[in-house]
Amino acid sequence: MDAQQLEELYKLFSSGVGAHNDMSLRLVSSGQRHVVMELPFQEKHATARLNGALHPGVLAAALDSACGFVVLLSQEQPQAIATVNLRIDHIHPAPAGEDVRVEARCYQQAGEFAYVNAVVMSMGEEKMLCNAMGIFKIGSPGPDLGRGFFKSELDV
Amino acid sequence: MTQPLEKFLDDSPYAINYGIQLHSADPNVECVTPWADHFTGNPLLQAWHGGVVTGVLELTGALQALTITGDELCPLLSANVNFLRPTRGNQVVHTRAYLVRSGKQILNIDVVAWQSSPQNPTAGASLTFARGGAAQLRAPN
Repeated sequence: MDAQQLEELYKLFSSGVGAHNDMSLRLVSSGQRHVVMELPFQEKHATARLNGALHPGVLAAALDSACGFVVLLSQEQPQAIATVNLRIDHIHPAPAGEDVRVEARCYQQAGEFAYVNAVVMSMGEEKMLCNAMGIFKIGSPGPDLGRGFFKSELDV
Repeated sequence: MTQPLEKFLDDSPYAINYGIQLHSADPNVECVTPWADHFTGNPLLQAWHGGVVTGVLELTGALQALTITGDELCPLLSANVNFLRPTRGNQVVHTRAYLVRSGKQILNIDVVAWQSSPQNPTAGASLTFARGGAAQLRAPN
């Protein structure tokens, strides 16, 4: 999948997803089983008005989105997906007023379940802020978000 | 009892963005979060984004922690969230926290989210907070 196709898939993934628009989560790069995204600092997501940092809740939302997108990317056929479990260790607070980077990797799929690990890293010091593990159900009820835009149809 | 908790929510831009409202805090913290378009996770199903649900669960747990520690803020160490059924859009989410254990350095708090009935939860979280000396050990921002 070339960069343009990837960007289009990400647009489709985010289309109409209010939470993505609210976060302004940016896709930076990806492979078949990993993605890198950036979550910009916005004051509305801060822990405090003065010297606030990104709240653990918005980091959780970014992790959930990055994990979901990497599961989507790892599928050969269109499938709806749903988060079953998400476990997050908050190791360090995000630096005040700074963007962060989110990296997710789909490391295993067994039957209807995909297993993902992900981290949130600071942009400057390369400090690990969060470590997360997620389990996603593939083929969950409901329409998929990547309809008509999968590897089999793109011949990649 | 609820005044410090209301202040915590009023001082948090994140909580304001989500519109979470404190319902009660005696002894369990209960909150109500009205639906907003920027919560959408799946536009076709009109479902809440799982990360937004996680954020609401975490805020409810943080409020419960404040009922134990007074004005001492407790950093969140870990969250383990189970998504039990879709959290439907255009409906409010209710959350209720349960104190599992209050130690000198660790607080363990469970939080459950539901829409139609607490007997049908949509998500549940087990949260671990640091307090006291353990909280001080965490590097400031």
